[in-house]
Amino acid sequence: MDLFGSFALLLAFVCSLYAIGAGIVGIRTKNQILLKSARHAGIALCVLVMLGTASLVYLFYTNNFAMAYVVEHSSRDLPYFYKLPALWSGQQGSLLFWSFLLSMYTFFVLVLNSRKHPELMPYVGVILASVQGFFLILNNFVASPFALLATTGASGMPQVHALADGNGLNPLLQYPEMAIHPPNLYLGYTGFTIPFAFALAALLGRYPGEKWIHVTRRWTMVAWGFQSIGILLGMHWAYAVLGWGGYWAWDPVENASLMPWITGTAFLHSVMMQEKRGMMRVWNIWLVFITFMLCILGTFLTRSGVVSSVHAFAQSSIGQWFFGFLLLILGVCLAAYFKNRDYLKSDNHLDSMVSRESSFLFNNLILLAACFATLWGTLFPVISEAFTGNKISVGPPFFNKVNIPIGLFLLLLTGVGPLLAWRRTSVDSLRRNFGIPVIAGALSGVVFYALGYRDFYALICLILCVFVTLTILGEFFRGMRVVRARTGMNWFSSFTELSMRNTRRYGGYVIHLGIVFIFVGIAGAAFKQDTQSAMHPGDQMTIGPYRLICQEFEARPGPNYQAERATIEVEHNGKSLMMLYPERRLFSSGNGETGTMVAIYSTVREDLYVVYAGRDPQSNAPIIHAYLNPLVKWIWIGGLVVGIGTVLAILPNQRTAIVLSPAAQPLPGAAVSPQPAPLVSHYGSQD
Amino acid sequence: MARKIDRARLAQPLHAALRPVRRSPSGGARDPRAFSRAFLVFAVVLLLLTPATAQRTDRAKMLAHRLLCMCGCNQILAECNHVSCPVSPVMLKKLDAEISSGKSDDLILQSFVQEYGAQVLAEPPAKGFNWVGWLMPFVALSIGLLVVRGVISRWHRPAPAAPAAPSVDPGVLARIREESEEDQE
Repeated sequence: MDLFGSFALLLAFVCSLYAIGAGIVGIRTKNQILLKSARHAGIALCVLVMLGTASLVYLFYTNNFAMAYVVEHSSRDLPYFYKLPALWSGQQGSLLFWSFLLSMYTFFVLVLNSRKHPELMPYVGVILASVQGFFLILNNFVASPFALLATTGASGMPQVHALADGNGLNPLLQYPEMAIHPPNLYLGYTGFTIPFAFALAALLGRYPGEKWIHVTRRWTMVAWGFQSIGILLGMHWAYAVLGWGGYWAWDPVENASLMPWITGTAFLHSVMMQEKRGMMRVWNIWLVFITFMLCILGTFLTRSGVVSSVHAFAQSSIGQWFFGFLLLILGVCLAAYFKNRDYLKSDNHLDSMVSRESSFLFNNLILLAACFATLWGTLFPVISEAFTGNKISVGPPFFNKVNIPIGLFLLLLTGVGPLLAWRRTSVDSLRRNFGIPVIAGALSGVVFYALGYRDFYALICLILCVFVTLTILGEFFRGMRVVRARTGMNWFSSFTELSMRNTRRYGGYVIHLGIVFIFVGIAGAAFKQDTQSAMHPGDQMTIGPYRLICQEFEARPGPNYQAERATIEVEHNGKSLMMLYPERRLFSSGNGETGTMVAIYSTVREDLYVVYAGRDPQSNAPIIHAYLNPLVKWIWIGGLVVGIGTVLAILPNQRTAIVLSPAAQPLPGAAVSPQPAPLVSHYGSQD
Repeated sequence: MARKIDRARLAQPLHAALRPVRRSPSGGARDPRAFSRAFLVFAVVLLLLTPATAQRTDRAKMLAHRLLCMCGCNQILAECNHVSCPVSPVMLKKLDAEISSGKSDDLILQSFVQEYGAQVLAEPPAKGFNWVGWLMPFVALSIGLLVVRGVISRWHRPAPAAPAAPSVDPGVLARIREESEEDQE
């Protein structure tokens, strides 16, 4: 099976070369047979990569300890569930997994568009095959996951030998979320290849109009959605497993995942300018290029050892390959742009300073500023050392100081932007749309202050969250009121009707609401408390309104570890609430690594987060570290809402707009709006 | 009842050390240096007329959040909790010793820089070349704001006045209005 996997990847590489060569010649000679065979080669390479990946999975499940990669990342006692995540737990496997996910996207793009966009697809096929080819070079010749354990025999020939058992999987990865966090994140990274391929194809082929935008919007939303969920799952994993009481440490790997998400977000907003008004063509195409390049840059940073990271893969020469690939992409993008930049000329025209268009410009500016600040902070230690010779660190305090004000401004725009009309917004409209949210936001500030929320940034953040929530709810309310007036539906049905008639617009609002919830959760970090103590049975500690009473601690065996577990009774305001069981696990395989299982009592108000931090060697008592993390649950709720909003925004509109449908008549007895004009404003827009 | 943690005897690299004096209502295992520390703290209380215990704890937390663990984990010292870390217990012990000795925050941080290098600081101090690091994001944002302002000014052209509505006979308008009202009844 190892040979099968190796040959499948090798053949896939050959197919990628053919798809590139035949595609380029086919485009130049307009030879349809060559173009068709190039497309088929592209599809074949996807299937081969899938087979290669499947063979590695099979080797994990059959405990083939002649394979170096399997030995390094699995063991006989590793639960079956974790044999699959072991696939992407190391350098070689994760790169193969990257190829696998890219091949899935490529497969669907090539198959679903086989009879569409005949001028565009050959270019897309060549670009996707080129990206796939780069990763196949790595999979075949630089970091093959199919390397065998071998020694040189007496005859001088290498002899393969298998070990009895492997080193096991890193215990930090033996957590259910690790089975879904990396695939989501990688689906985000690889997914941004699709809009990149279409954008570059449109530029190279001088494809007329905004077609590539329409084709790729949903692909971009899919990639963005996966990236969002992947980042949030990573945050939750860090929170629930690492046991330091937080979820985001501004580590270079985290930053690397955030940066393309930010530019992808900017693109999803500014693309509307191009669709609606034909504006910002140059900007949009470069946003797509930059997003893809940031995916590669992040991979380079975390796999090259250029910046130190707690998650970084082992340092290797692979970083040079990514750096070279990054330069190649930049060169191709620049060359394509300068050769065909006249194709991107657009008639940029703003009717008013206060309009949706100008809000998008500011939105993009703020997002790009946040991305730059993150990149700058990540790279500044390297830059500083190059210029001054001194090593410095840029940790969370820097990123928080720089990015929190930027993030708050972005939150403000989240509330303001969607309510501004295209072309121009009247003062009356501003007063009507923003009056209540502004007043309510200000009043909420007074209430929050009185309740003791006095951290400056957190207070501003909570005020803005109230403001933005009310602007979003106001938009839904106005739309639902019109639907009810026209159809007589109840509020819930009118909500569904409204959302499904313009999924993109209302899906976007739902995503914004999710982002607001996430900001609420982040604001809670300003009021975090913690305490720590060694606790014998019967000992107590107090944190906030909770009293923790140590009942017992015990050792108990697990499938591939020994656990030490404390039983902590929690009292809330003097009443017994529940039992928590924080534990620490000592894994039998590998180097005797340990893992933490944090016990969390989570409410929308706060999380009681209890960590078994070890034992006091003298008293043998467990050391319990307890945190009170206010509002954290809102981050995960927000993530769920973002996911729902993304799915809604991807769905096609289910019905035509009421106002355009002559068949749509008020139901008998239904209230009739004396002013049909608002319908046009609510249904006429497709954003 | 909860016991104080003896950092010197801790086998594992936990940041237990930061809060040893807090909430120990009835004793338990006593640190032999506790009395001398308590005396020192008490003296500082008298001197500053502020609650020393809370100040000491909060100060230690605050300072430990301004430092990084130097084992290579890249974590904030107060949050480094990975197992078998050989460095963070030593650093936390040093931090407590520095605080107990009555040094100012700046002096304490400086002593860490002397021992571990400037990398120990969680954020670059605002001096010399580090100013570039601090200011660049805001410089970039300012330049971006100027560019966006310039772009908006360049793109902003008032829309041409709407063409005059075609003249309609007032009688026809009145008839349409009447018919519309009848439809809605």
